[in-house]
Amino acid sequence: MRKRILLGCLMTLLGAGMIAASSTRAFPVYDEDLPEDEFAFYQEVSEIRVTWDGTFAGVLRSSSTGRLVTTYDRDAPPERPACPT
Amino acid sequence: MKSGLLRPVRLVFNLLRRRRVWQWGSLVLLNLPLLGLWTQVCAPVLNCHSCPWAVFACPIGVAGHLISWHVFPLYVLGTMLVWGALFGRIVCGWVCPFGLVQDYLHKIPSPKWRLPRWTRYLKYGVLLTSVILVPFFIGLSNRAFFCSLCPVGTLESMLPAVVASGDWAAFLRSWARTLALILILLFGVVAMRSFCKTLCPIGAFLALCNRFSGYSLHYNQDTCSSCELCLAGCPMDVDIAEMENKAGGVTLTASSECILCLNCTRNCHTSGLSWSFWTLVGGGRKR
Repeated sequence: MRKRILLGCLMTLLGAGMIAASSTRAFPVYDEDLPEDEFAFYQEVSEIRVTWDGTFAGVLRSSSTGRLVTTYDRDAPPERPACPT
Repeated sequence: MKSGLLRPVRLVFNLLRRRRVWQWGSLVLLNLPLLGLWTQVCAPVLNCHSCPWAVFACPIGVAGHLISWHVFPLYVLGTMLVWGALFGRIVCGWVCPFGLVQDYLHKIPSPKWRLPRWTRYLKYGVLLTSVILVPFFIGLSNRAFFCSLCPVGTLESMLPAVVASGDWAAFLRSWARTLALILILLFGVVAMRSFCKTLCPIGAFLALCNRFSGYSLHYNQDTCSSCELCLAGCPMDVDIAEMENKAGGVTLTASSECILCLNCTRNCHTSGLSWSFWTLVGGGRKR
């Protein structure tokens, strides 16, 4: 029982640490899918916002450059997105 | 006078002890647009965020998308780990709306089956392939991605959209989704919680967490009368006698299948079974 409690506490702390670490992460999300040598604007997007994007394919991964490219206007106020599948 | 004041409190307390109250309450709260749109927050259950009423995000849908972008889903994994480490599979038994659907489906009179033991390992394969490997290596635009065939998505997202638009042919166009839903619902009628046992990727993740979760169920070999009433009430077909052998008669939730519905503690007429949250609180029938 003691081992179980210890492991449970450790895993809870690990999970909380992962959530805390995720709050410091940000990803460059580009406005357009351009070749790597061309200049493209991007925004630093937090993981929370990327999680929101994950609910409706708000980002695509460029097959040529591997960059994350937005699929919608990020300056517009957020609204309920349509089903991606 | 004192008992008069305590009566409503006792009534609420008794209501909160009922699993159906929690299941229905969760169904409403997870799909109540009045609460706003919080789809950047993951609820640890299979509740499709594409549902027009969904409040929170589904961790499987989000994780699949992030993995397909080659982004490690740190936040989703952290959220699930915290939930799993604290509560284990209790969310399957008390919170998951699709679990509620399956509970009711199994009440439909029909021949009842007990699924073979090996089928419970399928869900780990589903988690590994259709939520991790397929999105990472192939992408999301194929039927092997879990969300493409998710019965909850079809039920909560596609069905309302089809009803609202009147475009019933959509069920034929998305025949694979429709067929998957029909088969899973049919299996839900004949085998109790068949989807939870065999296919649910969230169930697979939380099943791994059952090994160390705060909420746990305890089996006391000394007070057990071997009446096997606990087996009769178990929706997940957890074999308590088998767990007794495996865990040395100490802790039942060494079983990854236990969803902590507590049917067994209610059926137990001795104090053979009890629950606890670490060692802080606990319950069960007292002798």
